[in-house]
Amino acid sequence: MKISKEYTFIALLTLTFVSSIVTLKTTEGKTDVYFLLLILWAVKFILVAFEFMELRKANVFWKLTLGFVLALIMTIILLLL
Amino acid sequence: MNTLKINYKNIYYPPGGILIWIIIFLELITFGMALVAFVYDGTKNHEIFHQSRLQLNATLGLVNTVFLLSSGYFMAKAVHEFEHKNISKASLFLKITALGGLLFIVVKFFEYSAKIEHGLTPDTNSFYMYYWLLTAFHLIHVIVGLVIILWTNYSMKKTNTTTEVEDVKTCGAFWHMCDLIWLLLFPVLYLIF
Repeated sequence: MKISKEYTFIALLTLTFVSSIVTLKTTEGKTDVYFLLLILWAVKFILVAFEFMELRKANVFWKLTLGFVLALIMTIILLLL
Repeated sequence: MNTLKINYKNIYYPPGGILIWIIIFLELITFGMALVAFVYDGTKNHEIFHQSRLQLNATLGLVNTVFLLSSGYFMAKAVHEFEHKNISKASLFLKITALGGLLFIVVKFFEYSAKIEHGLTPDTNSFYMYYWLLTAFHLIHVIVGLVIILWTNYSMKKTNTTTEVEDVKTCGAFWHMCDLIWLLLFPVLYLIF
C-alpha cells in the first residue's frame, strides 16, 4: 500500500514533466502530439482517482462511471481538435 | 475515534461517502462541458486562441501541477496515517498538504497579477474569458479545500475527537477533486492551441 502510493507519485511527476516538455518542444505533427498528451494526462487522472482517492476499493459502478465521464470528455475534445 | 469498517464494495459506500462522489461527478461534468465549449470556440477562432495561449506561462502552470500533485500525495499519506491511528503524523501530512495548496495560490496570484498588468482580462477575448472563468472557479475550489483541510486538522487534534476515518477520507476526496479538475484544465488551457 505504502509503496504503491510512492510509485504512483513518482509516475505522476514523471508523466507531468515528460508530457509538458514534449508538447512545448514540438512544432510539427501537433494533432498526434495533442492526442498523446491528452492520453498521458488521462492516465494521470486515473492514477490519482484509483490510487490517491482509493477508487480501486470501490464498487465497479463508480470505477466505470468515472472512466465513462473521462472518456466522454477526452473523446469530444479529441474529435473537435 | 470510530474505526468501524466500511465495505467499500457496496455501491452506496464509495471511499469518502456517496455525497462527495456525487459532488465530484457534478464538478467534473461542469468543468468538462466548459472545456468542450473552450475547444469548440478554439477551433472557430484558432489564431486568437493560439496567440493568447502563447501569452500564458506554461512553466507556472507546470509548477502548480507539481504543487497540487505533491499535496495530493501527502493528503493520501495523511488518510493512511489516520487510518492507522497515527494522529500526529496525519496532522503533519495535512499541514504539508495545506502548504502545497497555499503555494498553488501564491503562484496563481503572481500569474493573475502579470495578466492584469498586461491588460489581459476576461474582456480581452474569448480565450481569456474561458481562462479567467475556469482557473478562478478552480481556485475557489482550492481555497474551499484549504479551509476544509485546516478545519479537519483542527478537529482531529482535539482531545476526545469525534473525527472519523470517513471524515478525513471525505476531506481527502474533495482535495483530490481539485487535482482531477486541474489535470483536465492544465493541458487543454496551457498546452493545446
